[in-house]
Amino acid sequence: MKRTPLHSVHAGMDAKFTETFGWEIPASFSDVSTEYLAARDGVVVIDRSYLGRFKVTGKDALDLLNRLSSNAVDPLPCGTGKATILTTNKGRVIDLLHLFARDSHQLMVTSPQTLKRVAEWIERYTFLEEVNFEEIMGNTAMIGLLGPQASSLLESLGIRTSELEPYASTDVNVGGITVTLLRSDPFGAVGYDLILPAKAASDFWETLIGAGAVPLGETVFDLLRIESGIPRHGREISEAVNPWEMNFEKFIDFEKGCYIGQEVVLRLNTYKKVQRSLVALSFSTDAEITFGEKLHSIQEDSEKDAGTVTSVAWRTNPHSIKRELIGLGVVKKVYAVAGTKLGIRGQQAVVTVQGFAARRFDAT
Amino acid sequence: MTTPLTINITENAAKHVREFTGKEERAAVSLRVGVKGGGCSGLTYDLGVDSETRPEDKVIEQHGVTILIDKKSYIFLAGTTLDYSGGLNGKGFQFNNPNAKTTCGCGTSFSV
Repeated sequence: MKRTPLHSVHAGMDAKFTETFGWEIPASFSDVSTEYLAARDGVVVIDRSYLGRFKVTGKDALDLLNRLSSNAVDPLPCGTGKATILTTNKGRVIDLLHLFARDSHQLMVTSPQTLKRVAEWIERYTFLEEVNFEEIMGNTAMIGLLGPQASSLLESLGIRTSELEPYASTDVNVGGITVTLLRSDPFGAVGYDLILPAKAASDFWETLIGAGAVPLGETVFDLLRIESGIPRHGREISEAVNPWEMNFEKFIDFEKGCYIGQEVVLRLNTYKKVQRSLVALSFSTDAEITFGEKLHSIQEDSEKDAGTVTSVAWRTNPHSIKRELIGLGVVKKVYAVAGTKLGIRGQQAVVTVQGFAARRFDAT
Repeated sequence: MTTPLTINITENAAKHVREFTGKEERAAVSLRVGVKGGGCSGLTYDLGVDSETRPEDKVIEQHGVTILIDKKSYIFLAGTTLDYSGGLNGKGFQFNNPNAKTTCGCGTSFSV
C-alpha cells in the first residue's frame, strides 16, 4: 500500500487507517460526529495527497488537452481553471480532470487510480506537440480545507481568499514555503486544496490544525461526498458510464467543436439515448449493503433489473443514536424519480430514490 | 507498382499541393502529413507545408512533391493515399486510409 507524505504525522495523531484505492490513509481521527459537525459548521483539513497530480508544460499543452477533453480549456488564463472530462472515442468517461493554470505551467489533478491510465491515454494521442506531463506525486502533498470557516481560517494565516473564484489558483507564501492554493470546491460549496512540497507538508498540516481545523478522515469525507451527490472514480465513475449519467453536463462545452468522443456524447442526448441516471439512495434497513450490489424493481409483477448501488455510507444523527444508511446509485431512467422504491437481493432491503435537491452542500 | 506500406499522393492531389504553395510545377515542395489527437473518433489528419525535415521523418517523393511523415503518425498512415476531390461539392484533400476502422460522421477523424 502506498503512503502519503503525511502518514507519520497522521500515525502520531492516533489516526485509524484504511485502504482506499491502494493508499493507506486515515479513516478517522476522532469520532464520526465530531468530524461531521466540524465539516458542516466549522472547518476540516484532509490529506488528499492520493489524488493524481501532474505538472503540465509545453506550448501545445492546452491545445492538446482541448482536443482530448470535453470542456473549452484553450486558452486557460493564468490563475483560472476548469474541470474537463477525458472521454474515450465511444464517449465513455476515463476521468474528470481538474486543470489549474499557473504562470508557466498547468496543474492537472486526476483521480487516485487513474494516474497511469490518463498519462497513457494522453501519450497515445501526442504526436508532434511540444508538451510534457510530469508526475509530481512523490515530491508534493495535497491538503484539502473544507467547511464554512475554511476561508476565514486561511485569512487568519494571512492568506487572502476573497478574490478567488471557483477553480482559481494562486501561489501564497506561508512561513517561507510556497504553497499553491486552489479553490477546488470538491463538494460544490467553497473548499480549497493546497499543494506544497512534500517535506513541508507535516509542518503545514500542524499549522492548519493549530489554527482551528479539525482533521477529517476518509469515512466522513466519503459520507459528505455522497450527501453532496458527487460521483467518484472507482465507485460511480468508470469507462462503463457516459458524462450524462454522471450529471457532468456542466463540464461539457457545446460550442467548442470536436474532441475525442464528442459526436457520441452529443448524439446520446440528441436522440435521448441516455439510459441511466445518478441518484441518491436511502436504505430502509440495517442490512449490510455494499457498493456494487444490484437493484431491482418491486412495483411490477416480475423483478426487473433497475441498476446498481455505487456508494454507501452510514450517516449518524448527532442528536440521536439512530444511524441511517445512505448511498448513491446508477439506475435506469424510469426509476430515477424521487420516491421510487427498489429492492436488493429479493427485497431484503428497500431503497428509496432521493432527489438531489435536499443536498446538504448545495453548489454555489 | 508501389509497395503497399508507403504513402501515396495522386497526381491530382500533388498538382493542388503545388498550386497551393504557389511553386513551379517541377519545384520540390515539402508537404508534412501527420496525425493529431482529437476529432470525434480520436485521430484527425493534419496537412501542412514544412521546410524542415525532422531526424526520424519518413520522406517520400512523388509527383514532384516531397512528403514528410513523423514516425508515430506513419504507424497510423502507412498505406494511405492522399487524393483531391474538386468541384462545388468536392471535399478537398482526402485521405484514403486502410488503417481507419471507423470514421466520425463528418469524416474528418478516424480510429484504428
